[in-house]
Amino acid sequence: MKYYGKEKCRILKEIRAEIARQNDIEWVVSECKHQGNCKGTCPKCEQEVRKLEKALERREALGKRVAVVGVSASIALSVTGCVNPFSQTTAGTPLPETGDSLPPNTESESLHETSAQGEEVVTEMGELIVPGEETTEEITEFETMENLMGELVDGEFLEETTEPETEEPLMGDPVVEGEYPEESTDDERETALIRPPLAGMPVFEEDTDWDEDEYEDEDDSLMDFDEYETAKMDPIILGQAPDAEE
Amino acid sequence: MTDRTVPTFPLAFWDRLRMATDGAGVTALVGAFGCPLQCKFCINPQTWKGRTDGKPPFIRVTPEELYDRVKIDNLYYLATGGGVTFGGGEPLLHTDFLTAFRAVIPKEWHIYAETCLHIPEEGVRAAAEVVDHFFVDIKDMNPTVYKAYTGRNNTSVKENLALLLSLVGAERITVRVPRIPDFNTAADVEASVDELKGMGVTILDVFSYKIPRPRG
Repeated sequence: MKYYGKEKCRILKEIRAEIARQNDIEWVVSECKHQGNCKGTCPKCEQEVRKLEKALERREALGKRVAVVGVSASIALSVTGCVNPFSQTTAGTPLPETGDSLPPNTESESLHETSAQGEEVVTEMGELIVPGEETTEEITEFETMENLMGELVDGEFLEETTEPETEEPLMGDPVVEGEYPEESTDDERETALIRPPLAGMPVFEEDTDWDEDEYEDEDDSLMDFDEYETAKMDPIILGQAPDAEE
Repeated sequence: MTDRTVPTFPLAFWDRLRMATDGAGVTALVGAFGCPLQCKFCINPQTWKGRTDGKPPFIRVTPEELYDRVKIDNLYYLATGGGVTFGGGEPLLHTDFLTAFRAVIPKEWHIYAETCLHIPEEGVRAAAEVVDHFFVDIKDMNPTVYKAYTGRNNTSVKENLALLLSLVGAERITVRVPRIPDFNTAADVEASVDELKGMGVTILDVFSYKIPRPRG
């Protein structure tokens, strides 16, 4: 289950309340009147977190016990078991930049198998929408929701939202402006710019941590999508056993 | 003057306050630019294709700089047992950065990684030292399907998975097995699950891609 909108806000509020409770901090929880979806980063939530942090700092300065680690573990969300494992690498989203996932749009079935080891968990979590050439109306709706970054989209905030003044990337947004190392060379700058990938090669900087030549696949004949489309028409190709590795 | 001895991370995007999708607790998702694969239905193609709006696809950040960004939600990480999830792209191409980042962050934070494991073996060994839980997207265990979908073969992936299992144990690895329309079948997925179980994987997530089709 991915948490959207008010549900995420509610969970974060609970976490803050529990921290306050565990530290004997007087904490008045007010209802957020924001309508619509929220990423938990609205000014009200942010203000409450900063207040809580300051209260904890004061408590610590007074030599009192401060309990934060794991105090909301019971509210914490596990990724194993019945929880949706979708992540940005495999989750569908109409806005690749956000990296967010969409909830399954079918009924999910959970399968739990216990192996001889007694710990095996196999979970089926329904469907995952991935970007296609055209999006459906349903995805467009989520696209709007996923545009949230503390900005007003639907509904009202209690306090006026202000844009961050720094050039830092907006949370959830891809990097807006490129920054280059102070002494970057022209080659580095060129590398950092967008360019069409070389055939069959991903686009990333040359100075990766690994030696590409050393790590080159034994078989350099990458099958691009056009080849696959052709191959797909011949069921024998897809169904044949892989060649034995040398 | 840039200290070139400090490892940097090609930050393509990051997202706050993730819950239940990228690790236990509340996490920040940090995406790397660059990936050895070219999956047909990649969720974040801008991390290897580049952006479509003409802007640079990433910035380089040091461990301290990344910490300065993500620490805004420190209270939530501590309270819920969360931390930072590295994804992308392929984050385990930057294990020297992850190692340095681990030294910078509070020890109570967790580090999770979402990876295809199509990386050098030394990356697996380094990651095993600093990553608390791995989410491995295996695509498909059938080499033909894997090659068709990603453009690469999966021999090294299987070897890396076996190595990772031996280094960290099955309880720290979740393997995701997708049903990919037009590329694999339910039988392929079942075969993948069986093969993974045979390798010792105990935590598996099976799910389906749904590809929006053009209307009309």
